[in-house]
Amino acid sequence: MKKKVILPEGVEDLLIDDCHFRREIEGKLMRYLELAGYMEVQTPTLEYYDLFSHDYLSQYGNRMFKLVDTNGSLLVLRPDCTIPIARMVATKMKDFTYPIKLSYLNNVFRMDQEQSGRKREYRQAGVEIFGVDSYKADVEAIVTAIEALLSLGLMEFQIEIGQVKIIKGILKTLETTEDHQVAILQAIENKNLIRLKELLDAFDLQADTQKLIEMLPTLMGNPYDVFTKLNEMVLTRDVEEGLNELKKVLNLVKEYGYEEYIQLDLGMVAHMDYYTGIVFKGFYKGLGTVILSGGRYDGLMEDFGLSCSATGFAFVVNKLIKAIKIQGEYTLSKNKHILIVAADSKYNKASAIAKKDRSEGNIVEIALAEDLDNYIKHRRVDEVMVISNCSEAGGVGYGGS
Amino acid sequence: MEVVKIALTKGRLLKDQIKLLQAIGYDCNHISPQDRRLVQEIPDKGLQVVFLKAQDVPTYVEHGIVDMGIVGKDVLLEVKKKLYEVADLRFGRCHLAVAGRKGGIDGKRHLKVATKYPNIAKEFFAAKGQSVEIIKQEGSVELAPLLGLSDVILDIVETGSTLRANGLVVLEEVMEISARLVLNKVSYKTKLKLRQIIDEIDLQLKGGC
Repeated sequence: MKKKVILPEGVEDLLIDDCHFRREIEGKLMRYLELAGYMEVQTPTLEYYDLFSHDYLSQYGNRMFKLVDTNGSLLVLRPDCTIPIARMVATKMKDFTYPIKLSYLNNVFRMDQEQSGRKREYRQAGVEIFGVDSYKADVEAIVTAIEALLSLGLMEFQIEIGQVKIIKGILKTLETTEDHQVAILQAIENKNLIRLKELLDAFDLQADTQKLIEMLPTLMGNPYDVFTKLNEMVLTRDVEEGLNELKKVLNLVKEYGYEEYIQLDLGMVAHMDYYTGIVFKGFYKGLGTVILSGGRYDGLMEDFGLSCSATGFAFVVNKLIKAIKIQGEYTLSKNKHILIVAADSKYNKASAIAKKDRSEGNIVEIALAEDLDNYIKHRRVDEVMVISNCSEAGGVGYGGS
Repeated sequence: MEVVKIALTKGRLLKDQIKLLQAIGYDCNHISPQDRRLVQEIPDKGLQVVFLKAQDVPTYVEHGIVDMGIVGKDVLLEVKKKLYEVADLRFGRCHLAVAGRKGGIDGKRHLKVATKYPNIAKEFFAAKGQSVEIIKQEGSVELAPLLGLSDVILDIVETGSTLRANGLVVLEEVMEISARLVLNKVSYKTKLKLRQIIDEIDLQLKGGC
């Protein structure tokens, strides 16, 4: 009987070329992170459901793939990389010397709405920095993102920075129900100015506060312009503090010489209960989706009984690869591909040649194919080496297509 | 020249959408949803237009296949995509309402609801604590209560004449609806031209209506 041959929704096979391309990009990316001092770690694909069931993670709640363990406890396929790493640091690495700079490359699983064209299994590569309270760690994360993208040859990208403390600082002054607050945040996030005004009109707000909140979604783009707009505003101390931190971050990024990649969006509302400070996202001009995102999450470690500041970000690997492909001009490193055709009695010699050539970085195969010409053409073999019973090894160049 | 792609909704909103584009200086005389070209260009302006069915507009915008779109609020509420909703274009106004036969649901604890908007219906009745069974329809929703498929319908009501012709009345307003301008979240940040178009539309809205 013929087996069922379709795939579940939201997952994919990666065929040869795509796999090769992904490995090369990931290799470069992880190598850069290694050179920048990040140590790679790996957490398991399966975790307990409870690890992700905090209030502020409710966004994942019904979107996690769940399994039942033999003893009845609920397991999930990792829906996120940061929380397991935070768990690992808090339980197994807390005595390490801080700061701890970690990197990872993992698959994550999220049950998205069906038929929405979104992946349900995808790869994230990222970094987490534990134990640095200062804005310098925020800058380190942002600069790592920029330099990683540059190391991949990506050019027209943008990093957009927001500051959760500003929104939180303002909302703190509003006496409102949680539902109302969520609605306000949603209106800010969707830049829905009409709805925002409606929601705010329901309060008897001070004119200054109302104006500032209404302005938030529009405080984006060039940092200088944003700060100019804010100069005219009356700000509370919390907001002022958040803003100063943001300025420090921008100044240091500027010192690095990466000012051109930076934009602001003070209306960036990113999982507000989770992030606590500077947040950022990365875009590529020709691609309508986010290629990386991250930020500071100082509160998370407390859930594991450890008071420790943390910040980090993750690349969405398939989006990153898409951006690189859209930009074009990326040439994969190619090794010379050698095919050895040997008589049985010459396998000993063939094996020796293969070992030597492989050690020099070439792809070397001992021929298995019946139809050699066809194989050589389709696998783009550069050189064929025939070792017959009567001859010494001799190369026949096919001048690879 | 930077090219911006916009998705327009086919159907009852189309005339007003074209009018809006004309008003802000985009010559729409050579584009039409009947045209066989899937992507049509407004000459010399770097604006490309695609005509889509309403439900597809948010999807195209979310994925960044088009940078911006015009679509009814009803559709946005139903499909809930991640995008920026930046302007109420004030045309295509109508209501979402629950309708049925007069007195047809008196005393009923559990309602059968026929609708093209199952998600909106689910949320609306859940918020009221009303127990319902939702029956998704593709068209001619008014038929459902007449033939006994459902107790009520949840649908858009423009003038109410279709309801009246079928002997139905509005039992409850759900909300007002109008056409909205929606943007892809990334395009808004990366394409300057997009912001120009929004500003032009804003200006038009402030001055025009």
